[in-house]
Amino acid sequence: MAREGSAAETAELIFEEVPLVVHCPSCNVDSTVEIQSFVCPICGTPTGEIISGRELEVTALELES
Amino acid sequence: MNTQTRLVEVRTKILKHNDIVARQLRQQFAERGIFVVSLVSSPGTGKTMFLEQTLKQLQPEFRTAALVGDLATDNDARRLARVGAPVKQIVTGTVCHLEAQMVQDALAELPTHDLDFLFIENVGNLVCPASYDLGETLRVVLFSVTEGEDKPLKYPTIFNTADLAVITKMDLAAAVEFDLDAAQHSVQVVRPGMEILEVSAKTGAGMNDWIELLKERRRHIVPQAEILEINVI
Repeated sequence: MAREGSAAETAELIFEEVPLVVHCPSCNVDSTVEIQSFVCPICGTPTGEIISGRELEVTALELES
Repeated sequence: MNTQTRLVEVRTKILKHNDIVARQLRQQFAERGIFVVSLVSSPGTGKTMFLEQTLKQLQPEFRTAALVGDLATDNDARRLARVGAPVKQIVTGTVCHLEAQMVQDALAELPTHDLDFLFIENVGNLVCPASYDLGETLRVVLFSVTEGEDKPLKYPTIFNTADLAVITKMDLAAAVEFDLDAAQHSVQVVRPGMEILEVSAKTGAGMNDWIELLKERRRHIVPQAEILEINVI
């Protein structure tokens, strides 16, 4: 909508989802979990220690000329 | 026609400005020994009533003030002003959350020099406030017994960014067949280890535990602030 009539009319906005990764203090391993279950998938220890997944960044622009 | 593709790395955090202002606020609050509590919940959870009772109970002993965010009205600020503490309304217009910059601007109009506690009541919303750091010392997420025990599961991000959960309107728990164990379990699933308090601002039940928690947590930050003040003199 915002791009209509602008120089970026054919531009694409690409979202890259960063998986939610938490650290387990018991087995000292980082694992990917679902947001509704902050539990280590290996040993079942509840953990809220987020390693990644909160990022909201503009990472790069790809320009064509 | 040949097209050339060029990749420009940006790597900029979208909320960078907010994070920078929040960091400045947090430092200012620490230097002045102000314990800052932000309150987040859905509309209608009873944040204002809870805050009103909190201010009343802290008033005799502590210097308190509040900032309240709302889309349109200043009803909450007028309600809170009756307690006698300095209150400043932040009218956000179409914005559904408070941002660190709004807090910084509002503080310029609020006497904060000698404060012990500052409360920031966010706009009633469980989604966007999760992403905005306000420089607070303690982020409290509230939900009432009428909202359902699975509220934390539906809005995991806000619960995950909070430091403490408060279940409000406990006086209505029996009437709505509220399952406290299920609610506590929901909180622990999305935020393992988070402390949970149950209160009724209306009857006063549970409010003592909350007030004691605030005093206790404040004691941990204040000694440092007093040492700083002595050094300045």
